[in-house]
Amino acid sequence: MESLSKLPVPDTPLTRSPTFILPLSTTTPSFSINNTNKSYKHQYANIYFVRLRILRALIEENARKRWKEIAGDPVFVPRVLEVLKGQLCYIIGTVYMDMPLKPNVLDDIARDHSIPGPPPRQKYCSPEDSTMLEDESGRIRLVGECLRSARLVTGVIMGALGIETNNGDFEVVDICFAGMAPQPNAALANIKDEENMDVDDAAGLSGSDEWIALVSGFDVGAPSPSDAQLQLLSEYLAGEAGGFEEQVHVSRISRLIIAGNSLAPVVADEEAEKKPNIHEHIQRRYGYDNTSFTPHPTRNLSSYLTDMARSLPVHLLAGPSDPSGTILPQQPLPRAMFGGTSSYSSFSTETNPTYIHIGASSSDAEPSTGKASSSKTSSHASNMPERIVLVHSGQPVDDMFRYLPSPPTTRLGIVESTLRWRHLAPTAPDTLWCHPYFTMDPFVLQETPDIYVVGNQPEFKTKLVVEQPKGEEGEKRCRIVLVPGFRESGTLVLVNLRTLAVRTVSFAVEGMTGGEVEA
Amino acid sequence: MTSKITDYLTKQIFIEKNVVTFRLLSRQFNVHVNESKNALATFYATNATSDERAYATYLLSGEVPLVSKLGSKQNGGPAAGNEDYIDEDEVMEDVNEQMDDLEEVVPQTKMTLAGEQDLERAKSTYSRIYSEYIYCLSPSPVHDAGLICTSSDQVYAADAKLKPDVAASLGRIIGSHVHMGKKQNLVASTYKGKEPAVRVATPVVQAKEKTNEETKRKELLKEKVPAPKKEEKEPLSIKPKPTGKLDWSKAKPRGKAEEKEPQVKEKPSVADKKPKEEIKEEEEKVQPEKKGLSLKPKASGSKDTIAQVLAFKVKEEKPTKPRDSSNLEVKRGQKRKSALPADTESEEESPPSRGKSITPPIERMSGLRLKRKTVISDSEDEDEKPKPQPKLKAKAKSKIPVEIESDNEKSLRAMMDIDDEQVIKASRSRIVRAAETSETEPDDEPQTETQTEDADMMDDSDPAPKPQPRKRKQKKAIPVGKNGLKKKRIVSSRNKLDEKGYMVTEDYSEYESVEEEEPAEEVPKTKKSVAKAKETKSEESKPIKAAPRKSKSSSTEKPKRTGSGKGSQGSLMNFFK
Repeated sequence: MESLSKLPVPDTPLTRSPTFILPLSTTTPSFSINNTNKSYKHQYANIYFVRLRILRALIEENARKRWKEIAGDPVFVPRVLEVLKGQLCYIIGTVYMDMPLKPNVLDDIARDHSIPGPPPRQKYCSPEDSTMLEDESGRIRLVGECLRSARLVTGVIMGALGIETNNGDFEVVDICFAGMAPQPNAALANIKDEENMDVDDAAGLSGSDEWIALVSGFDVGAPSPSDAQLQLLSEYLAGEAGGFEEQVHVSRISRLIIAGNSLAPVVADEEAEKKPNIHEHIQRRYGYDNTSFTPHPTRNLSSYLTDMARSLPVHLLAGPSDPSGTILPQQPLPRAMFGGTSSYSSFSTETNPTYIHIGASSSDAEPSTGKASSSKTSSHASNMPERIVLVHSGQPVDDMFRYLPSPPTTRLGIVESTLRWRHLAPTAPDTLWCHPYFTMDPFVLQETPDIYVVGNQPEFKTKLVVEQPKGEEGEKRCRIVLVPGFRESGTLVLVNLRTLAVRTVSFAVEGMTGGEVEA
Repeated sequence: MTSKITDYLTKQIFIEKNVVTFRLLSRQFNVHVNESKNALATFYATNATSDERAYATYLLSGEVPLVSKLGSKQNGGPAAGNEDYIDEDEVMEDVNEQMDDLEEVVPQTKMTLAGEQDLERAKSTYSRIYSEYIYCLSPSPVHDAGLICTSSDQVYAADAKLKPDVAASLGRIIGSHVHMGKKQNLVASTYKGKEPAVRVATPVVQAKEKTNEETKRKELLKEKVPAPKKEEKEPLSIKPKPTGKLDWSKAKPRGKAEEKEPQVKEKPSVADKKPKEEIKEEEEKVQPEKKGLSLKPKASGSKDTIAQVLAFKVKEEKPTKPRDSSNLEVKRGQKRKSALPADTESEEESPPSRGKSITPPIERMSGLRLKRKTVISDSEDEDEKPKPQPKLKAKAKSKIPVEIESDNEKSLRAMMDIDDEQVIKASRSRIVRAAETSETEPDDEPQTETQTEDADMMDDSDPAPKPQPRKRKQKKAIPVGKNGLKKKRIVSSRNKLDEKGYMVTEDYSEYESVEEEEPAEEVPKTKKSVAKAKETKSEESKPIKAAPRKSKSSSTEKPKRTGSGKGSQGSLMNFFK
């Protein structure tokens, strides 16, 4: 046995880099359903209408710029049904994907209910799909090669350049989206980046930059739990795991965002599915299998959360498997669910999706915070620009992914597309359930977030999307991060708030049984 | 210390057969986690050769080579694709590749928990190892990783008792931005919940107002009374002032705090005996709000006390619902606006009480009593003799000393500043009362005085406590509708089929007598106008499609309903259905 080198004990306790939550602006609205929009009575058509109204003008402008020099002098036709036969023109409307395999509420009603329904499909796409473009006047079928590569889903607002064919279809030559939304903080951020970029390693944890930690899918209470990894994670975040060097690194992690699926779905017990035995059903009289059900998951989860919340602020989003409503935006889980964690004001349950506005210094609106740490803040404040983080637990991406054939399509590509579509969840309310908003569509991206986090994805992926607008100052940059489920991957993602650099920390066990697939 | 740790480890591992993690050890002995890790290593090294040896589980951390990551990355993902539909389109592939090429590969740190038997294998997967230490010791090799969690309950229990600074000394890195306590709502201003903020703001505004109330009052005197009234939510804007006052003061005890009523009740009797002179004195005392609850019940102070109790209560609520100050500021601004009308209100209302307080003579009191009787009778033959109210007011004003008025003002302001929500809640009963008072108010001065008295539920100058209980009864009974003295409001529901053939149940209210309906209508209209304005605005921005529907629904409304405030609300509701 080799003797391990002694770990040094720091003389003074390490301190964590503070960051503060700033109030949201009107372009990054809160997704909480409050008194003004809590009614469920409205028709979903309003969402499409509002969405089209918001984005049409932007697309029209983009389209004019893009196609003004094209031969044939295309004209803009304001209503899709008034396209001119045989003349090059462009129209703007909402994409509707007519897919035979897409779940349809009418089919659902017409279905014979004595027969169990078919399981939900993994993919809706099929060769019979057709694409429509619709506005208030009606819809027109789109044809053309460029549609296939455009990877469209229902609900996207776009402009299409083309000619109406003899049989009434619209042959699309080119398409145009709204493009990435403005990014107010961008100019400031870029200047700072340039100053510091080459000074220190962008991806290293060694600098004094603030980082945020992203994780999703704890799946506490799942049949094969990842308790060990979860414990390692909480120890890591507390700064107690690892050597001194890593503890210093951890002290740079300023806050943790948990993007959904903290609890495993209770109902999804695989055993019951495997043997649909009548006797089994009798056993499950109370709606759950007595042998496998345990009320502990919330308690376990809250003990982990408490451990983390002691060290750093935690933002918890509801996810598809959490005990929360299924319709988007999912409302915050009740704090009281999490026992001791709820006594921390720095622990917050968030809507899904949510914007989190992080700043290096506290806003005036948070007096207590500012008082506690103003002295420390000042030293850090110069480094980090304000960052808008957009987080959701993955449902929009999962849903859009069903529309599109993969391999060619990747989830990362879809997420990137949502930025250019300026819409977070275009398939809501078609196949993605969402709240019947009446006068607004909160999923329209009015501002490009700096960090765009999608939780519960099968794999970790990241990409920095950069768009340099023509004739405008300041490029738009958005760091997309697909966060994998923690139970499957044991992965924690760290994002540098200044440079937007990303790194991952994964927790694994070797030679033991644990939640993760063994190496 | 070391011997203690050794003893502890020996006991835990060899006797109790427990898994001991570095964290548990750290919490047990209040040592830094790194020290605890070292202690585990020492213990492990000393026992490695003995028969009864501990098994170590290591935690490795380091960087894994990026190559492996790249390999697994290509175009994949366990995402369940539709196998039978694979598009061979070349264009698509190209686009896809283009996208994936831009995908970034990022450095990965890996922390691996490995038993001592697997340590070397685990190490081989690393390109660089940052650290390696014993995570836990166990009596036998750990095969189920979940076992390392067995001690976490103890750790959490210990952590729960640790003070943050102590925890920090054990190695926990605590952010200065981690806070205990209630969650602070840091929400976009647009989404601010109005009600609590108002609550907070109220006392502050009050206090401020008080300081310069004198000046304000003068200003207000100059101002034409009707003008500010319009802004108010006050439903009774059309009516003569005293009514308004009555209305508010009544509504307040009801909506806000029912528990306050008993207090109020008690006070009148005591207060009755108090000499007039105390009013001034009391008023001075009142200035600091805390004295609102002063033990001495005061003449005419009862009203004040109500208000102050309220204000006090509001204050007490404040700490429980902390708001960010920016929002508070906004609210304050708003409140101030509404406070102005409140001032005018109070001014208008004060005359009667002032007059009372100034003229203590007994004759007056007897007259009061008489008048009270007349009130009752008057109310039955409604609105017979409308007397010009403004004149009376002017008279009263000229007589009144400033201080007393301000006193009144204060209390009224407090009432006005009560939560908007509360006010709304109370609206129904208020409507009824308003209707009631509308009958009586046209009577001359004495009558208004009695009403004021009602509002106060006591009058210092009133020598006869007897009438008061009667009054109270009346008051209470009216909202309930059992007292058939005046108008009765009937709330009932009816079912009807709407155009779609759905059964719709709607509540509607009516007043028994036709004359009363007019004022009653007014109330909800004005009150809701603010809220409605918002609604209508949003309607305009609403999809065009909706527009025809709306007009249709409104046209189908019964003419009667459209006329009244209630009716208009109903029609809107219908529309949203």
